[in-house]
Amino acid sequence: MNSPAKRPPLSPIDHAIFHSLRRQAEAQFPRLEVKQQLMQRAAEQSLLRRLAAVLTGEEPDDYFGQPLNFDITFGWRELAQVQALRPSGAFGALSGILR
Amino acid sequence: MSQDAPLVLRLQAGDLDALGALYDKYRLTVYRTALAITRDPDTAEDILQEVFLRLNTYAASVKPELPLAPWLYRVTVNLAYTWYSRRRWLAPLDDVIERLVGPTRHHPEPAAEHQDSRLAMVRAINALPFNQRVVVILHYLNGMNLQEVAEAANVPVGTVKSRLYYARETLKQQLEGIAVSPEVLYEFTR
Repeated sequence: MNSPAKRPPLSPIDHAIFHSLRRQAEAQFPRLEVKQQLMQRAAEQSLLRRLAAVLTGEEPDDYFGQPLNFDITFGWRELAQVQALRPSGAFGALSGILR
Repeated sequence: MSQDAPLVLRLQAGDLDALGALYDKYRLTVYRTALAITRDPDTAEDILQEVFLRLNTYAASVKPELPLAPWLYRVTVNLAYTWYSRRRWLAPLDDVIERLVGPTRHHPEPAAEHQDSRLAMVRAINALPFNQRVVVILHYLNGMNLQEVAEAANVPVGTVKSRLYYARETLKQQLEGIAVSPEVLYEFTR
């Protein structure tokens, strides 16, 4: 079995930089709220992406069927609005005629 | 396949729990890298959040077969560069505000440790030019080799080598005048 390659010894200045940075970093942590905010923003981001996909017709048929994997659900008003804004919906068709 | 592949694949399928798991795994390295570069805890938290939001946005373009850490470091460094270039213009204004209303930012080092020679080294690293500080932090704090640092900082390996060389020389010169306590010297040289 091959023994692992031995690293060359660090010079004093390398040791000093390494230990100073490591020691300082060990005591530093992000606040817990950061994760909470991140997850909230990521959920909003996913919702917007999904809405955009519905509006552009990339997901035309399955948006009723697939449940969203976070705690935001569509009500009938939102679905009606989305339906109306689609190219074949009331507003979409009207804007098509006007164009 | 990399260790993170199952989580990356779940994230690509839209599973936000996978994002949470990746955050838990990498939050400290990303945060500590951002903090060491920017020296501002609030900015480091903003960068941390933005890195993982970008991971969520661009999950489809992340290759599951490759390790995720280099991707995260690269985004962290890019965001730190953006912060730095904005800060360069705003810094004089911030200084005026700080002089008028007093220091508002929380500095992580306790005041009692200011005499510590380890802290003198950290201050000397903080005083390095931004480009040199970035490569020093990636190389020493994150244990990245020259090639990995070059990829994260988006510069050739030769540039990384020269930045590290000049940073070491500057640090050596600056620390020559500082009396290093025997305990710290022992720790540095053993």
